[in-house]
Amino acid sequence: MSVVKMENAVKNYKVGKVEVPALRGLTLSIEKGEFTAIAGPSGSGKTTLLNLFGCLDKPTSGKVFIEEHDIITLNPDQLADVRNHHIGFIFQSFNLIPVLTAFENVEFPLVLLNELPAHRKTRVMEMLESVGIGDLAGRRPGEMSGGQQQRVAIARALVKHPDYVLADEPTANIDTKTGQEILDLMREMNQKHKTTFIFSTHDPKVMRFARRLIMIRDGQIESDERQ
Amino acid sequence: MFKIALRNIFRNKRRSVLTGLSIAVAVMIAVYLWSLISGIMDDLFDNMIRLNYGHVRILNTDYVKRERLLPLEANIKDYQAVARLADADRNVTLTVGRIKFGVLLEYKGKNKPVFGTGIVPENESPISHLDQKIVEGRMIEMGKEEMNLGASLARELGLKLGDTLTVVTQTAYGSITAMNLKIVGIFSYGVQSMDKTTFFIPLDRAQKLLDLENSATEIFIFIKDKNKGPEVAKEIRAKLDLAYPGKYMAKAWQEQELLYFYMVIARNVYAGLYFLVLFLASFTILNTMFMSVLERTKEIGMMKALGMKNRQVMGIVMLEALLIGTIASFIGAIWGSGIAYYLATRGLDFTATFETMGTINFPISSVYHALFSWGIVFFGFCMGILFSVAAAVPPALRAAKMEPTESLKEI
Ligand SMILES: Nc1ncnc2c1ncn2[C@@H]1O[C@H](COP(=O)(O)OP(=O)(O)OP(=O)(O)O)[C@@H](O)[C@H]1O
Ligand SMILES: [Mg+2]
Repeated sequence: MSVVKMENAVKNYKVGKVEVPALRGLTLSIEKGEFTAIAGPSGSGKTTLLNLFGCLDKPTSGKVFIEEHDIITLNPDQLADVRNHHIGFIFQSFNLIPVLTAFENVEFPLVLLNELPAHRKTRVMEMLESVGIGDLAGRRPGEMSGGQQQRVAIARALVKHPDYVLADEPTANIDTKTGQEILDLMREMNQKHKTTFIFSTHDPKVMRFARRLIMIRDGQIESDERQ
Repeated sequence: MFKIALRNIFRNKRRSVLTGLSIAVAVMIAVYLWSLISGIMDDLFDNMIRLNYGHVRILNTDYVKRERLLPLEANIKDYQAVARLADADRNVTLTVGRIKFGVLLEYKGKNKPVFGTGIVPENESPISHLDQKIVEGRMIEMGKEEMNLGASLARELGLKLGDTLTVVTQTAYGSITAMNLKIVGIFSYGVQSMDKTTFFIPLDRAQKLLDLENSATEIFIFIKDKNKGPEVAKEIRAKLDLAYPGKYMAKAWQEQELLYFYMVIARNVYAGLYFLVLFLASFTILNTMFMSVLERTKEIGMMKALGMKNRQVMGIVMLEALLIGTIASFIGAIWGSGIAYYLATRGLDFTATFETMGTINFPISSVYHALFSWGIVFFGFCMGILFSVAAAVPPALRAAKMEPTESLKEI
């Protein structure tokens, strides 16, 4: 059974009066537990694809299914619920809430899920420990290095045990060595929690690391290989 | 959520402080301005009631039409009998007859149009507080040819205590009449219209001078609760209509067009200023909230990507405005009440201003006292919050409309 899939998805952006095609009829299915990299040159449509998988946007035509449910008909609040319950996000520039501590940032998705405070506390601490920054719980993003911030972001994405995690160029804003550590961590989480990961990159080293590599160009799939 | 909103305020401290300051200052101005205007208005009304209208006033129906001319022929005959009608009402605490008349005062070649009022001296204390306003000499006494003169008027005419001056005027029937009156006391109300243009003489002397034996032109009625004026006036009117159909009428101070007119003006001017001040302040909130929301486009997009709903995003922005607004309004209300309290106890002296403005026709005191009331302070506080929150609605809507896809955009 697929965790998320799209059928014949087309996405056009309107720039003024011109329609810019970003995805040209893409069909793609991600299975549970996969560790997938989406690669391709700049402007090939990676972010657009992740937007659709992330229920952040709807395709111009075609369909997107999450656990076999069509999301096209959902309204913005329902989409927010789907994201809240099923999807974790990791961003290129970490995108933590600067006024909250690491602990509170990781706690944030659980607050949105209305989890009880006591329950939240143990889950958050567990998660921070498992990404290796249990001792930084009280720090704010501004007081942490890029790698540490990205670890917080991973903890935030995983803390609610989502069906899959989307990461748009998660290593682009950190140095190679730290990037490798982050990838190792993601892989570790993938194996330990069986969490499905879908991430985009244009770094060949990162591509090699993936279990499944999907190359896209001009909004179409060029190749799709499992290693 | 609360935590996020609260900490967001501290994110850009200078901006929050500036926003807060503008709200605080607006609330402060609103509070003390209202206190001051209320104080001035209350003082004006109080003076007008005590000096010009009483709580309820009985007049000859013809007098009402030409009150400006002080038509003595339109008087109240046997005024004591009429006053007794009103006395029967249990709300009434005091009824007193008066005669107000115009004269051309002449002294050592200078002459000046002024107003004389015939009063019952022993009843004057609760009405015009004349006994407390005498600065030199003593009050006039019934039956004696004496007068109390306004201080500014005395100065202007070069009159002093003990001087005797001849008052020449017309009687109710148009013939010329005169009386020599000795100045036994000089009063000062700190109210230009009183001190500069009036004098008091005993009622019986006024009756004699004006050929108005046993009559008065006005009967002032004072009641326990001045807010009940219209009710009492209505009852008295009914009685008057029975006893003297069509002849006399009673008017409560609230029914005086002039007072009503001032009241409306004061209220409108104040409301206008009040809302203008708050409106300007709410623009700064609108502005800074917009800035801070637009700055956080990516962050808000991220929060929405994580599953935050539109109204929750709105809520955070509104909560921020509410917090700033509450704190700032609180500070502003304290400042405002401080100033209002100071103005209430110390007063604001406008004597000099009024002197240069010449004679003013209504009894406004030269020293303003603000009216200090927690109601005004609290209202200002609430309005500050209300305007802050209202001004945050557009930026909050803007935040709610932001797309979650913003979170994945990289510049
Ligand atoms: N909001 C938008 N409005 C208009 N055009 C857009 C928008 N987002 C993306 N595009 C266009 O769609 C195409 C695909 O963009 P997308 O961001 O998906 O590429 P990408 O593979 O993520 O690129 P990069 O590696 O630079 O992040 C590009 O041609 C881009 O210019
Ligand atoms: Mg991209």
